[in-house]
Formats: sequence, structure tokens, C-alpha cells
Amino acid sequence: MIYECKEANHSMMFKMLRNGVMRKGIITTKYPRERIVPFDGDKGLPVVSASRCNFCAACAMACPTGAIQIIEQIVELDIGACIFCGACERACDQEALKMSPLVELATKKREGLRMRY
Amino acid sequence: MVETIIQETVEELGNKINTRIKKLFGRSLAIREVDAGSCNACEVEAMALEYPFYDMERFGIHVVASPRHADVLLITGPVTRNMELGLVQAYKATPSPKIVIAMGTCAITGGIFKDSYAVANGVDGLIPVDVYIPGCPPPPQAIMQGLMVALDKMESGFNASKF
Repeated sequence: MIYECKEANHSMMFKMLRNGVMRKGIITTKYPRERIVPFDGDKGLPVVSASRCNFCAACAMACPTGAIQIIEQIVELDIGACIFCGACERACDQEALKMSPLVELATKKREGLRMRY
Repeated sequence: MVETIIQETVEELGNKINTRIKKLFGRSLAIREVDAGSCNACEVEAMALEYPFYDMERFGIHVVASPRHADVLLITGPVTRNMELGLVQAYKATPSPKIVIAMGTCAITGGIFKDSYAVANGVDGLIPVDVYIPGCPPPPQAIMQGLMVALDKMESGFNASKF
């Protein structure tokens, strides 16, 4: 008796599946053809907005590797020394310095890693 | 926040690298990874290129077991005193023409270990570097872009002054 019941349930389930009860459209991803979207917390190239910066040098003092130098109203950033820790972003009162998600920074020349804002 | 910077998918970028490698070498590109005192974060990221998501073997990029088999030296870490000799020997053992990639902030300037008594402040002072990949550590996408820059350099001709 119980066995019959189970069988009846199964056949019901198959009928429902055939009619598309559990279908929800395409649920697979386009792996590996999907684009890589950076996470919110990802840290990349620090970007300085020149209009907001007041050259207080708080970022240069906070930098653990000395990657940021301020020379006569120019913020010079050495990506070759930057460790992308975000200490400069936290130290900035004016919110002038922001970590962007840009990570593809490889260059042929050492000079190409020095950014000036 | 900012618009998505990375425009290409792994597949597109990999296929582009693959066609260029085939055109340049007529075979796969062999990479030798040299750990010159790295904290292993860079190794983990380079290893991520071997995992199924990136899987760079299918694009014709091999990691080989000896510098004698290599075209590219991928150097990580702020060259410690004990590794100075080993690094120079690995460079000399690599058959010419060769490309040297300094991967990670440590290999470029010494990074957080800069001016320590135990490190040589990057690869620059010991052997000539062709491509710099900044990042601490650089993500796999950045390493792939670095390889693209290296292929650019190979296409424009190797430096004849190198031994």
C-alpha cells in the first residue's frame, strides 16, 4: 500500500517536471566567458582628484612604503612602491584620494610606474 | 562606483595571447618562476592562473621546472641576500633570447621590505628587467596583461646587448 503511494507521488512529480514546474529560465553562467567584475573592497590604482586636494601631505605621511611624495603642488605616486593598502585613502580628510579598481598596470619602463597628479 | 575597467573576458585575452605566442615562437611559451624571498602571495596569484577558471595551459603558457627550459623568468620577492646568487645563476642559465618579468611591488622596489639589511631592494640592481607588474600581489588578470606587455617587447625585438 505504502509502495503504491510512493509510486503515485513519483509519477506526479515527473508529470509536474514535464509541465515545467521547476523551470526558471537559464540558470547557468557563461563560464568562462563572463567578465571579471571587481569586488567593492578591491583596491587598485590610487587616484587623486586635483581639485579637491589641498596638499596637506597626510597621505604621504600615512604611506608605509613612502610611495607618495608631494613636490610643489604635484602629488607624485610611485606604483612600483605602492602596496595598495589604502592607508592614504583613510588618512585623506578631503576625500581627494580614492582607490580605483584598476589593476592592469604592467609597463616596460620603470618610469611608466610613476604617476603625477 | 567606477565603470568596469577590465573590458576583456579571460577567454578573449587568453586567445589573443595564444595567437601571438604561436606567431612568435611556433610553440608554447615557457615560464620559470623564481621565488627570491617572496611572502608567497605572488606565488598564490601566479598559481591561480593554473586553476580551472584561468587555466593558462590551454593558451600555450607553461610553467617549467628549470630556467634552462624557460623563455620568461617570472621573479617575485625582494631578492634576499641568500637568493642574490641563485637569482643571477638562474638568469645566466636561461637561454637567450630571454625576458625578465619583475612581479609584485617587492620585486620592483623592495616594497614593505625596502632598505632592510637582508634584501637587495628589488631585481633592478642585479639583472636587467623587461616588464614590471606592480601590485601587492598582482591579481591573475594583471599577470596576464603583464605577459601581453612582455609579448609586445618580444615582437619589437630582443635587446641585442644581452648576453
